[in-house]
Amino acid sequence: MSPVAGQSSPSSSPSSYGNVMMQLSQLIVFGIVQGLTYALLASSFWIIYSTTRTFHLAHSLTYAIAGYAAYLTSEQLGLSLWLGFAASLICAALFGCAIEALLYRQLRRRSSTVLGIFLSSLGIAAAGAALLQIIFGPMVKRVPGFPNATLSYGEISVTTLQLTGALAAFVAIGAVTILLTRTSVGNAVTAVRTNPKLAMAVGIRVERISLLVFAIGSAMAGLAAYVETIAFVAYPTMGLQPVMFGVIGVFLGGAGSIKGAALGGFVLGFLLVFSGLFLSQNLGVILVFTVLLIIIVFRPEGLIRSPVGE
Amino acid sequence: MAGSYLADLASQVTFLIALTVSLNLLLGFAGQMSLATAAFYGLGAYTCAVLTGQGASLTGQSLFAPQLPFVGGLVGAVLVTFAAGLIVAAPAARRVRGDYLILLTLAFHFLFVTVTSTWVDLTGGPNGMMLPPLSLFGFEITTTDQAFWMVLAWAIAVSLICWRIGASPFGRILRGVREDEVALQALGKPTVWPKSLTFGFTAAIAGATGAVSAAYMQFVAPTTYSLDLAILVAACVALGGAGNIVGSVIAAVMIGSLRPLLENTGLFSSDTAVPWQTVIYGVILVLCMVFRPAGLLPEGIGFASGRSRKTLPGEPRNVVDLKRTEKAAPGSKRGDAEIVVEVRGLSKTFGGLKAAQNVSFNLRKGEIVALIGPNGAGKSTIFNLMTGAICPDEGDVVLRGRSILGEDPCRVANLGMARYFQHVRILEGLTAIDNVALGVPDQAGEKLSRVFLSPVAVARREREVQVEAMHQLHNVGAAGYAGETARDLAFGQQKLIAFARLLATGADVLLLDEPTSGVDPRSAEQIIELVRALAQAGKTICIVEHSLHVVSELADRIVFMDAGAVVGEGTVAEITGRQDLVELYFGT
Repeated sequence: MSPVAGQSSPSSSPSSYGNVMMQLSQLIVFGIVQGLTYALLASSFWIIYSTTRTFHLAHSLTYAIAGYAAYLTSEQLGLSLWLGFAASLICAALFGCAIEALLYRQLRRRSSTVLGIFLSSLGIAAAGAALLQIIFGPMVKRVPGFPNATLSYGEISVTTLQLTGALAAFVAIGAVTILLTRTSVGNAVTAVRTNPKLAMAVGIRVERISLLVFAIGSAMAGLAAYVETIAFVAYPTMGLQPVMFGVIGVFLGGAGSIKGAALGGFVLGFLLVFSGLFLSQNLGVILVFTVLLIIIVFRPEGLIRSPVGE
Repeated sequence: MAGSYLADLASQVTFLIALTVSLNLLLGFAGQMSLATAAFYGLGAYTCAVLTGQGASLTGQSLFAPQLPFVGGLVGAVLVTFAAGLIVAAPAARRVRGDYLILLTLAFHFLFVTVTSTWVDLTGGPNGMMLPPLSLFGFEITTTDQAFWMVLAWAIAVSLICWRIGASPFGRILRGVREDEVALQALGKPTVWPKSLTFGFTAAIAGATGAVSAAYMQFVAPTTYSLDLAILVAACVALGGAGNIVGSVIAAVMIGSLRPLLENTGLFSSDTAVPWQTVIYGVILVLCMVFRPAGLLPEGIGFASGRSRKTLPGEPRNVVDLKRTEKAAPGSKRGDAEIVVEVRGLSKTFGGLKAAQNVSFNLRKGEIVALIGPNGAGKSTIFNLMTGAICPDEGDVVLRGRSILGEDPCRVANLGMARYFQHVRILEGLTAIDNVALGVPDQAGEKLSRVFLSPVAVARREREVQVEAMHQLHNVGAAGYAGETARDLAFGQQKLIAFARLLATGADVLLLDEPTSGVDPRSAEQIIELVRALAQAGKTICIVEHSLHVVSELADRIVFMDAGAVVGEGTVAEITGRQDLVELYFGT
């Protein structure tokens, strides 16, 4: 995912006040679109990370698998985009659950160290991306056919795909938030996140909750991957940067709550788009890392402090 | 570069050896998860390229280029990467650990990649830049065979240096950092500088290796220094065995030979061999983490602790040996012995919770003071306040007439007040004797420079340290399992070792947090005897205990706490005579 997808060209010098306002509104629109995407990714990483304490870098492989699932269904098999969408989400969720059940759970049962779990995750991420390249080749894969149109409102323009993606991300984050705060399953997830041993003691089946959060988080990543694949292309290492930014979002906003994670992701996306106004894209990335560094050093609990979590 | 294909392959493997071995110091010994290996490697390569380059990119653009000889580029690379390592370590050494460190080093990696592909004027951007042919002190290296010998010499030197560091007392500190930094600081060992130094050192080796490899290939480009490389090196460390240098060399040779083997068996073209190599090592890494998490050669196999087990010096001296002063009659001691520690009006509030309110008491030389009270009375908090683990809101702690307020636990331990933790905080991955050896103060070999500059003095001191550690193990009656890994010992045995470790510090004020809880009765008796003997030997002791049996056996004086405040003070008889306190203690 290009960090500043569809950013307006900052070189056109604004000639009047109205022009500046127009450009600003345009940037705000793009910022919201981009911010919601990163908020989605941050939440998807957060729900897995905070509940199971797994630094799940193989999330990037889940992302790529979702992208290729869309390509296989809608392009190779020639089925509809809707089926491709379903395939993306389902494949992502299944893959996330598989890796939890077959790998992380085994490692935890063997009381593996945090480092051991992280290294296995790295191994999966590296091997998986290489395997995708072996199977599908290094060339990027396109999934055309989305009825994309540019909507204009005065000078502000946004594509229907951007709008759909942002809306879907918003709905997904909202749905998961409601799930976590309003339902008994959500309470169980919160209990496991806060204190897994105590949760187990009061009869919560921790391993099933872990599986559930992997399914939810992976499906959320699958949603983001689907939108990117439709808008751009799928390729083996496509998940690396989005997941990286998602992780940054989590630590930026605060790993204590989904609010923190989503806000961190959103701020990150906004920052990237707005830095495009006066910086080149790469300098924007550098700016993000600088902000991250400052946050990590001076406010390690993130922008939003939370009583739950560390 | 002309020369044989085999020498070229061997050189590539040798670069991997140097990277793996140096990362093992940071990842395996010190337990710091760094994903910045490729970034440091690349930073060294680019520094060398910029300093020695001809000032023209592939596209003919002119670049900044001082055109130094290769040695200049190498020195520059070492300096730049060492500094970069220290900078990355700055947040890492103090506050950032675990997952944050992964994120931090990952961010540094992406930052490096972004900068190298963006700063076209300096680095030639995505197209990379050329380096002049390799020459060393006027001697032109023209074939891959010559280059291989040079690279091999470098890798051997790096391996030996890293092995020496790992086996030294400095290496022992690093392993202690990996297991439990808090415990190490409580023993009076600083952890921040050893960690930072290891970061810088590992980065500098990676940087120097990068410089050599860049000069060897005569070309640098951002794609060489990918995250895959960082993962590959971390995988080699894990496969070979964290904390085992020999294992790292073996794993690097095995993994490094994968791709050439795949290519030359004819199964894969050179295009598909690269992803297949990644698949294979990724799978091996995962399998290894599941089935053999300690790696091919686990820590301590072959090296390091092998020697320490052979030198088991010291006669089995008994606890009684500590008895240098005759026990005075309990009554006469109180009041006239020298006051060693004064706790003056300590207060601490956590949110709305008053954990300590105006707590004052004195500790006298040779006296055992028991701090008792119901759960949550603030006893452990007082220890935390006294040792500087947390800072009080008000009050003062005076050790031998000197305020130690604001000192960190490490400094407090060095001033002679050491602490025994309720949860033992044994360094699980280390042997019993290594645990105790970490308690011994003033070790020459804990300075990295002295490991190399005065090896004789370091070796002599290390023999003394081993003798001292063994002596302390004898004292607590744990000499029998000196060579066992602490993780494999029973809880009672671990407590004895933690005790030996505490004694090894030579501190004369001992703060004991529930030394007998969770221990079988025989070990408990042993510990009680030990504490009594220590007091008789002139140590100043404060003990937090729940068992009234232990308290009545040991204590000269009791300080009774409730809800963060001292509610009573006196002899065992005086305290047990007060009905209100007995009710408070046992509940009504």
